[in-house]
Amino acid sequence: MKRWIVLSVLIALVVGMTSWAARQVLAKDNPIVLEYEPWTEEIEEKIAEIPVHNGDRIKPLSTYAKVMMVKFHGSRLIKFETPEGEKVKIGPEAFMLDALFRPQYSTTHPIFKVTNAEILNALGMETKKASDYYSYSALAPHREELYEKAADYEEMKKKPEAELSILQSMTLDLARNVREYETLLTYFNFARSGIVLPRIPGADPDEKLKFVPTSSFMMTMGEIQRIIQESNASGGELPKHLIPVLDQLRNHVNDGKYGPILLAPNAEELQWTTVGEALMGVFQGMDPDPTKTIVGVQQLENLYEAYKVEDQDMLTELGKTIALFQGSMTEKQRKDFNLEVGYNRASWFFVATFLCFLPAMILIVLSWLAPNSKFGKLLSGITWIFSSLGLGLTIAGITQRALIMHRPPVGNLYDTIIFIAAGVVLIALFTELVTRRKLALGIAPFIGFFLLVLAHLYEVESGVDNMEPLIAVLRSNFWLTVHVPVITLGYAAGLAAWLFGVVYVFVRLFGLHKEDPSIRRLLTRMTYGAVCFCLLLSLVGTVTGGIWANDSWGRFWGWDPKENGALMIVLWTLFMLHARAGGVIKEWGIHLCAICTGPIVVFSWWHTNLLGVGLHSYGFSDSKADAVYLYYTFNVAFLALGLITAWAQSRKGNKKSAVANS
Amino acid sequence: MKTLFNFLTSLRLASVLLLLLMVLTFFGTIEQVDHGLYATINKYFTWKNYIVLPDIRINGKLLPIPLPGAYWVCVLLFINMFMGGIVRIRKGWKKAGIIVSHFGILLMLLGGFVTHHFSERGYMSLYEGETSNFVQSYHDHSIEISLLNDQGTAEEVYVFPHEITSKISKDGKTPVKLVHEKLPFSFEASHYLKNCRPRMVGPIMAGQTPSVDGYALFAVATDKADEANLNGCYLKSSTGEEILLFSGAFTPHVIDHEGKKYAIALRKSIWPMPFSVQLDDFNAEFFPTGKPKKFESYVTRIENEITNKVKIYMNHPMRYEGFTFFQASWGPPDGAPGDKLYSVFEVKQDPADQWPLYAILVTTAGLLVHFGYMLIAFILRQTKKKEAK
Repeated sequence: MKRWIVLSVLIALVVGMTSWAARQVLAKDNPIVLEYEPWTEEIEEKIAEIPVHNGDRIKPLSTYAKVMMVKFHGSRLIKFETPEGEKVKIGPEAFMLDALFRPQYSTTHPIFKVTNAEILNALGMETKKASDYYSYSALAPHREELYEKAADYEEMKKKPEAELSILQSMTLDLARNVREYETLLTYFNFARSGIVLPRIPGADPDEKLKFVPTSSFMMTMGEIQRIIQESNASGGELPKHLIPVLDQLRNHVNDGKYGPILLAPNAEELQWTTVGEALMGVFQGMDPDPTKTIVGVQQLENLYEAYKVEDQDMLTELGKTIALFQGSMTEKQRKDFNLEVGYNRASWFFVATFLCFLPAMILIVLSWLAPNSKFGKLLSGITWIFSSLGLGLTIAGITQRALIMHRPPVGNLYDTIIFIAAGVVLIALFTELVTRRKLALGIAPFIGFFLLVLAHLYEVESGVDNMEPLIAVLRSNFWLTVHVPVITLGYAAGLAAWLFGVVYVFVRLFGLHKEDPSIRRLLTRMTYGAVCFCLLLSLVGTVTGGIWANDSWGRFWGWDPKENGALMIVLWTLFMLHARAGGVIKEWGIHLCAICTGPIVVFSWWHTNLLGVGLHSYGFSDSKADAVYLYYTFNVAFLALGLITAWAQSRKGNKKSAVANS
Repeated sequence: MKTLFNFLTSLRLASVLLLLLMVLTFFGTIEQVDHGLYATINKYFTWKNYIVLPDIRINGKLLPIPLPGAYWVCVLLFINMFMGGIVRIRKGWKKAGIIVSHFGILLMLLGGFVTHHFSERGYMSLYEGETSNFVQSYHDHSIEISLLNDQGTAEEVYVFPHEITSKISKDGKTPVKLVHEKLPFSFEASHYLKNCRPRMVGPIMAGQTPSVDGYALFAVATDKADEANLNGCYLKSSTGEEILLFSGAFTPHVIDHEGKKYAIALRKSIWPMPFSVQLDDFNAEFFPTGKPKKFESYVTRIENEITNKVKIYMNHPMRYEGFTFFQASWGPPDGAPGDKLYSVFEVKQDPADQWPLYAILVTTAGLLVHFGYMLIAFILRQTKKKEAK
């Protein structure tokens, strides 16, 4: 009977976690109906390989598109239906293609996620739901009000000690997103309209206006400059026919100024530029090698022309564009670049989450239906394979990231989450290997799944590229290289101990230990082992961090919140081990203390960044703070549950022994 | 006696002390948000505080929950660990790893003690081409009196160090006497203000010091970052002259005495070094977005006319004769390319500089032996059980 209760709880847990994850990862269904013509798979794959210079490094357009889309849309899929009832899913590459080449489609797509309708109502917009997706066309009529408000808030932010309210900073974010999106829409305007030549005086007014491609026009820039200088020198006005041409040029410069940075520099010390900046450079005579720049612009024009004709042509031109742009990169840059293209295509963490850990979760729960039957053994065997596979994929993803960035695997908060995911799963599988009781095996896929989804959420929430290069102090030091992964693994071990503690409480609560008394001792051993691991790793991680700090700025210890957090983990685990050795805590005590390890780890991992002091406080927001407090609250509940169960069962035990004695 | 020994060596005491340290660390972390780093460290971790009251408030009222100061908890822990974890512990292979790691941690605590009491830290700021052989303190102030020659440069310098200036009281009561046998006059110092500004005294505006020539020092709120505080105090000389000293003053106060000129200044304490350092070149590199990529200083170390070229950069300090030089900062912040730059080195003199490194190596070895032993024992037992089945 009890087993059935537990099983149904577990099944509910699996279903709950899956649907939660699905809701987070997949965009919500929108009953929106739109005309759409999908891109071919080949084009979507090919466009990924265009290099973009962004955030201090060269990255594939697919990475750029992914970051943009996550920032605007809060997920990597835009969903709607065509009038024919066909379901359309737009990924980052198609999103980028539409925005650049087909604004007529893109502006109707539900791109902008607004989680609080109040900010739109304040602009005079009517809304249906509190949280919804909006297309650019829907927002466009209120664009001016939005920008005005954003400009005010931007001013407010500059004042010292000023803090924007949540709604204000959301408005600011939306305005920034809309503006950034607009840079994509207008980016290809130079190719779309070219330059319209003015009528020569006295020409036939019925004659069609002549267009020239912007690149051809750029070739005459030297001549135009000469005319401008001459008329300036003579103090006269510019020739009349030149003014509308220069106006068009200025528009192209502005339209293409802030979009993706595509064009490689012509000299070593120059920076990569956008098309707008390139036009400006050539026009002002600042470009040391205008011919090369013009070739780049021309290639983008060819690409745009090909898009209008046929898929096959576009594919060919994409190939040429990629060859041309990648040709400006060094051998090493190209190697990293291709590695990243591969990384984006592989989606290691997605596959690990949904194709490995998820089936493993389901299988292990099914195997507990009849653990000792052949069926149960077979299922747990498959769980082993799936969990290990998930772990392998996660490690592969982490390794590939480290290779692309040429740095140790942990450099920012996102890295810590995937690293800890791998760490906890590894510890759980190792525990299973040693204990062989299918308990740790059951825990592994659950925690792996949960943490990888958390990593995804973090990525979406922060909306930045998580592979940007590190600042000076975080580069190149042996002790730093040791410190970060070790301390992060220490967090993982601490969370494993916490998890074993939580499981123990539920085992005792449901009385599962009565069916198999050895499970209590087993769990205690597992928790104890994880605590030992946690101590070793946290201690070594903390002290090597100190040694690094001593090399960096001459102090071994500075009482920085992050350092203190790590020290707290060390002191807490030391307390547990000494208290256990001294008989202060016993079986229940160890598990209840292990539950406390969780909040202490989370304090060090997340909360210290939230304090806003010290050297380690990198990036935090309110929703993350809420999540941290939610976690604390849960643990108070676990602890209370554990204490009540312990008290109730000890009373029962006392009664029994009293009866036996009488 | 035995009870005391048992108490001091007990695991229970160890547990309590470790728990206390963790709680103290926790409060020492979160209070930094409101009170700043320096004040918080001074509250929780200095030997001067035997008891601390964490800043736990309900409706603004402080809850009186006294905790022992972290320094003294560490001292007790040291004794407990030494007597319990090394002297009393049962010796044998089973405990070998634990004993070794206790040794390591003792060494680390000892290192912390040595650093806490015997290390000094300050900074040296050099423009390209400049040479210096002294280090300036971050926090400590001293009063310097220099005898000036006809060119206006110091001939002799008499220093009243931080140990003396720190005793000057906030108000006019019990002024501190500043007497130097080589000086023909003495001073009475009082009204030491931690952060102040000199301002003109008005009809309704009185400063915290007596006014001198219509000016007085006005106390302002102390900055959380102690380096930003500008100290000041009031001096009265034996010849009856009144002086306001202000550490933010650009020039020292000069007095005439029997035809000789003396410059008097309150400034951050300096300590001399046995060698000089010259900044030859400074390089800063940035990513296009302005993120710092690399800072490096090329310096020449000069000692007894022997020169050595050294590169000091992030994570790679110069260690020499007990001094360690770190690349700390640089400027001017708005320096354009081609401008003369200055580089700031943090300088530390710490006898226990590398002790944590040795300590962690010992401790790690000990823990690995111990936990490895336990793990193998556990696995062996498991396999035996299986075989028995």
